[in-house]
Amino acid sequence: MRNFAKIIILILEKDLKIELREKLNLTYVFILSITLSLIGYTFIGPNKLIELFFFISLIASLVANQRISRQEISLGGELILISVPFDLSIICFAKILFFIIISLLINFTVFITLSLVSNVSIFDYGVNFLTLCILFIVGVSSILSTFSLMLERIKGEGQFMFILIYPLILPFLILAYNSIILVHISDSAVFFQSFSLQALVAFDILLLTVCPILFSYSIRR
Amino acid sequence: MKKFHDTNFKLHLLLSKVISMGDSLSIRNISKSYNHNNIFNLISFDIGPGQILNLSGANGSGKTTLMKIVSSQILEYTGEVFLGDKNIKNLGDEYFTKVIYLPPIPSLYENLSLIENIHFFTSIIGIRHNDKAERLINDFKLTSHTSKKISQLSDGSKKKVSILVMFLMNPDFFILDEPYTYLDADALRTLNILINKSTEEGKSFLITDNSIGLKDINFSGLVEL
Repeated sequence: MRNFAKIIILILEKDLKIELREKLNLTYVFILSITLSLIGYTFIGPNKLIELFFFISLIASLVANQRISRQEISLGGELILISVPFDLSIICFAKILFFIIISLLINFTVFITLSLVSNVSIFDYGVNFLTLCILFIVGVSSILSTFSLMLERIKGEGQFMFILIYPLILPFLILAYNSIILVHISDSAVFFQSFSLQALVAFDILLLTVCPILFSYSIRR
Repeated sequence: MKKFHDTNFKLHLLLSKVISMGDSLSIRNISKSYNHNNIFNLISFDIGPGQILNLSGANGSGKTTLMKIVSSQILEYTGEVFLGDKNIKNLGDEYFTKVIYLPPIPSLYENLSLIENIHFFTSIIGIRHNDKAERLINDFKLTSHTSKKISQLSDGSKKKVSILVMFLMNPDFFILDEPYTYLDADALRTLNILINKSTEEGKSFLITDNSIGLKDINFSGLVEL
């Protein structure tokens, strides 16, 4: 367990060092989030601001994750850490944690941009909104990190292994959408007791567990 | 002098070394095909402790594929690879403490410095080799590059770092795919000295390269594809 934590910290440290030093990906993520927010707001307007917020975060995360995951691939097209003498699920888990940090930055940027252009606060139901944000980020980061790492590494039939977790992805997205609608409920107790939010927590835990295992299995099966 | 970060990991490594002391790597009837095209068929050979085998063959004959199979990076093939009497498919992650594959193109983090790469790769498997790392950096004449990012280094220097990291990891079997590519005469000599010294310690090598560097190696055998 100590080794597990130590490896995760080492990978997180390495990723943070690379991103903070290069700043290219961070700048890209920042500009992409602002641009998508402005485009989204222009097309959809202020009526569905919370839905717009989560949709833009999802798209920005998708693009950013593909880009950031490439750091793990060598010039020869292989996963740099493919031959490490421990389970590869640890690497995937560390990448998920790192992408949670990046997603927080994306969500923060989108939130600020939408707040500035719309002049409408989407923070009226703060606790509900923040809770949903965190649950959404954890699930999306798990799915996207695994997906982009697998796409980079596995050619051919291996990519279809990702279909195995479709039964988890689709309910997650549906539950997230249902929870977004419920964010407007002013009574937080009702929001927290809603089925969709509680099920979303369960799916987050499942995704956090299943995605790294699937990644490891797909490479060293 | 090896120092390990963690007692458990140290014990695990020591035990795995003791168990594997003297084990051979046996390749039995390996065949591989892509899209119904046979690349090679029923290849069998052994790599014993302290042996150096030369894997030769024309371009496209499947040398890299075979090396990746032996180093457990390609898992779909027919035939079997044994370490001692154990099929490598049943050994799990432990196998990677014993066998290392050096790809032709260096596999490093381009945005980390030379020393950061060394530190990362050794820390992640729980070893610390400050003295050995320093000696290897000197041997490969990389002292003035330690704080440079890998992306700023020449292909030759990247290759040296890759080789250096591999020797720090200290496995029992080294699978070297074109190790001499990009290396200058000095580095080539240094690598050959390291290879010869390692075989005296019981380490084994499977090497494929068309370079002139191979002439200074005393091969125990030849595998032709």
